[in-house]
Amino acid sequence: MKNSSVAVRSVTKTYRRGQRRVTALLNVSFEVWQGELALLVGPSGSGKTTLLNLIAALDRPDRGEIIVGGSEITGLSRSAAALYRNERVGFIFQSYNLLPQLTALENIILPMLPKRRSDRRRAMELLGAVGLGHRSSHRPPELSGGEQQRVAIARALANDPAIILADEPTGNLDDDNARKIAELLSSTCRERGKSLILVTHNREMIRPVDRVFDIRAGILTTIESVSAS
Amino acid sequence: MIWAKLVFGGFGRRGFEAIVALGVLAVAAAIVAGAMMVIEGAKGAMARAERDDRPDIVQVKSRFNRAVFETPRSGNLAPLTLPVYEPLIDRDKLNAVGGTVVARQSLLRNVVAGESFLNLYIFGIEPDKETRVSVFSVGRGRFLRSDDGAVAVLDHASAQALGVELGGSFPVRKADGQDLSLTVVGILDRLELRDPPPRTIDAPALKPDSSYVSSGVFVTLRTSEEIFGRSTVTNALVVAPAARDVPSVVEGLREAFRLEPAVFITERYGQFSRKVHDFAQTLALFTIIGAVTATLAGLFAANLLHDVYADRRRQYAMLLALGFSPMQSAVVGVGVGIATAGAGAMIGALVAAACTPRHFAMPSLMADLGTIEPRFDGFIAVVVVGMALAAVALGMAPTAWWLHRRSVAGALSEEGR
Repeated sequence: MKNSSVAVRSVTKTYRRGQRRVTALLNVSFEVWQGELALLVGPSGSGKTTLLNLIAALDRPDRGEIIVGGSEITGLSRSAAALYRNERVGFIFQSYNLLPQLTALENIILPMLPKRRSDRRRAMELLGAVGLGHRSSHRPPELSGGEQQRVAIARALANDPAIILADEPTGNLDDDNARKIAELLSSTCRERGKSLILVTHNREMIRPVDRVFDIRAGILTTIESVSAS
Repeated sequence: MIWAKLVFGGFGRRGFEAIVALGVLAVAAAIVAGAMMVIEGAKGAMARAERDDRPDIVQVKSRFNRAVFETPRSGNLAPLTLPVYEPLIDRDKLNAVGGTVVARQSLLRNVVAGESFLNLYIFGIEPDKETRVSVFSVGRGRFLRSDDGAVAVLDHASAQALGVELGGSFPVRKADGQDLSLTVVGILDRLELRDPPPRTIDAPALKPDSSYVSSGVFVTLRTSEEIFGRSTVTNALVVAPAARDVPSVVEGLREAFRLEPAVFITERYGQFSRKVHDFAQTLALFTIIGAVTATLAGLFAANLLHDVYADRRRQYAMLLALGFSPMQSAVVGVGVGIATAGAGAMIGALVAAACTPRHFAMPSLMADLGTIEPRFDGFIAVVVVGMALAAVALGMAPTAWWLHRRSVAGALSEEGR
């Protein structure tokens, strides 16, 4: 029997743009199972990143509920939301969002600091797992885009979260690097039993995936189950 | 190490602005601390002047007795006791005015010993009250008690001139022509009589160059009344309840003695308050300089820090996204501010403490209040640090408010300026 990792129920989110309100998501519902690799696809501005932000508790929906690991997260306080992000979610940004003053290794250790941990050995292991063991002391400006995204993947895994959320992780990379990063992300999550929700334009980016959610103009239009191939 | 890098690293070109802000805060702290040190020193000078000048004391004295000058300088005359002032002051009138009356009888004993004279000042005092306005430092023996009889306390200059020691005695010719033997019960090392009579004749002196009496024999008022044969006092000090009560006390005294033109009432409060007024205006100038400097420099530093913080908004949002609590993220932000404010305030305070002159005098009338000794104290430290922290808080506030109003996702997606 499959366990629910993330359950999104009737979520609506609107933004204010000047005088008018823009609906980013309208009544979106879906569920991702534990260990599942899910793609969130759709054109630009369709609400994919908004949905990912809501699951990561980086933002709050206007309506609806989001249940992660059995807990409702939309009503969390700022502090509780921070704790939730730190313990249960690994987030990979399109623009990497590494801190330039820290080395690659320190960037991976960074998510451990809120819980007053600094497991340098685990950080080195993760850096090795993404193929950058030899660049631990390099700072982000000294790394290529692909290397920075690898560091970001390792950082997302630092606290061993159950869910990895990736927002266009290959968007800033060339095709070759994009393919390598996608493979790395896929294999890492499968090996470690993580649920992966990945936002992308390109539904061919990761193979194999378990399901594909297609969002258009804030509405979840299709949920496609994909058999491993 | 990572925390230190989070707090102090990644400024880029904004690091220069943070250093400039630190410098501005240091300069402002130095000026504010310097101005406040002068103000504190001036307050000390005023307090000292008030303590020394005692503007709350009103002096009441009668006309100087010119008979003293008529004492022949040669010949073999009988010992004589003369009043320094004509005894015209009625104690009841003094007491009716209010305030604490310190009554005195100031007498001059003229001794002929062989071919030489010895002039000696004798003061009849109320020991308990007199010690509140004058300084008597007893070297040997004890000071007078209010119930003492024919005993005396004298300073070592008078004792030496009289040739008496502790426990010894010497005669004083009374008004009735009889001699009263006074036993020495104490010898003073130091004597500072408040409002002493002028020194108009050669007599023993602790301060040889002083134009005022600086040496003498002290007996109780009761004993001096017995010597002089009268109960009226020669002079008195009236201590007002507070300095601001002096005008009303003086008015009362003038009213009480309006029919006695030979009684003079002297107060220092009027001149003292004018000096204090001038002083206060000068200090207000220092205060304004300090306040304007603190405000302008604080705003400038706050503006520089605002740029520094605004440039790091994305970093703070990133920390929140990675699971740092709002408090932990705030610590990262506040850390650099505290460090900047603390370093600026400390450097400024040290510069002020090192460069401010140890003491200086104010010009003209204010110089009478004595030298100003600028001093650094806890209050100044609190003000200087408070000013620096206020600048930091002002610089941080827009960024804190910006982060507070937005979701983490919103903060990450905006550039933030």
